[in-house]
Amino acid sequence: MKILIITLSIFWIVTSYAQEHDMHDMSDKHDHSNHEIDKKKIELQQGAIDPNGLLLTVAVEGMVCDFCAQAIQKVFSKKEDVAGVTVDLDNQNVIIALKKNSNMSDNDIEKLFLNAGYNVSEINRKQL
Amino acid sequence: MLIKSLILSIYLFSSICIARPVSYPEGWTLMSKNNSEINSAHLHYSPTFNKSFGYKIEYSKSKKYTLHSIHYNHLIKRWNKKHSQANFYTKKGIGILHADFENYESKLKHAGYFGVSADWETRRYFSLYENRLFNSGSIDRHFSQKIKIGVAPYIGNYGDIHTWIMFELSHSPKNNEPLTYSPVVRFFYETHLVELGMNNNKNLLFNWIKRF
Repeated sequence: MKILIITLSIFWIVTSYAQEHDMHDMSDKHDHSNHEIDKKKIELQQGAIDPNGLLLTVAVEGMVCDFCAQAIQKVFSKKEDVAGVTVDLDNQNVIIALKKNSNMSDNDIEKLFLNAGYNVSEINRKQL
Repeated sequence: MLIKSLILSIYLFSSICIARPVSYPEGWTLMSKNNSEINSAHLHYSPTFNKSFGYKIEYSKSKKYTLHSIHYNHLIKRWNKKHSQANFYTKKGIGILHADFENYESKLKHAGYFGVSADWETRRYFSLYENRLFNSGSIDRHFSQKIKIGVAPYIGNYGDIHTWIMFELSHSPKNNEPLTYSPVVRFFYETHLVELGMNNNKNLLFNWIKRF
């Protein structure tokens, strides 16, 4: 019992310390880079960009590793409305290229992310 | 022949859950773990992001038994933050245990286990606590737990090779040596995750995950 309490305490202390440290570490990086992604040409990891379609930049919460990125790519690449998708882990963004005449709403997008296990904090739409 | 070899390889180089006991909806995962205590393999399917069902085979080196079980993982709660993710899971299974050890009169036993697991990670830090209560009546009944912490020396982007330096502390009160620790190095590339380590008794650790 004593060891159980000790191990749980160590786990809690390390987790709390790391979380606090990491928040400071990452916050500066995120602020200035959020919209840079729109300025450069995006090479999609899956699919292509429809020149007459929409480009969505989705800010996602909880996306911390390649398994998360793969999960999101798999979910979106199966959708008919989606021409292509890529994940920018550095900026915690998912770039989704929608086909022309796609009627995928922000609600639909959020629901897909929720069903994949992630939360959306912001969606920016840009007509190509 | 190829399938037989594959099954044999999985059997020989296998394990319990390492991390991420669930996958994306309709995703398959193959996990393998080997350490001083067990060899095991686990294949699971996730119908949703918070559940997975699978088959697990594990071999206990000290008790010399093989367990075939139906395994169920449930993600009870996930906390998604801007730069972190935390999860709380339950893991359970029931199955048939086959003992080779000559001292056991009854060689086939029902067995069951239950455990919880909690993890928290960012792209830089990782921490995990998990435990398991195992019961197969007269053959084996034990409780085990472990913590694992890790740090990534560099942060790679999606598709890069990711490296983690980790430390694992395991506690199994019924073992001859209840407390063991292992430095571990983890490599993560595309759909593969590999962990290599050695504990304080110089026993090797090898874990592997593949997602489909």
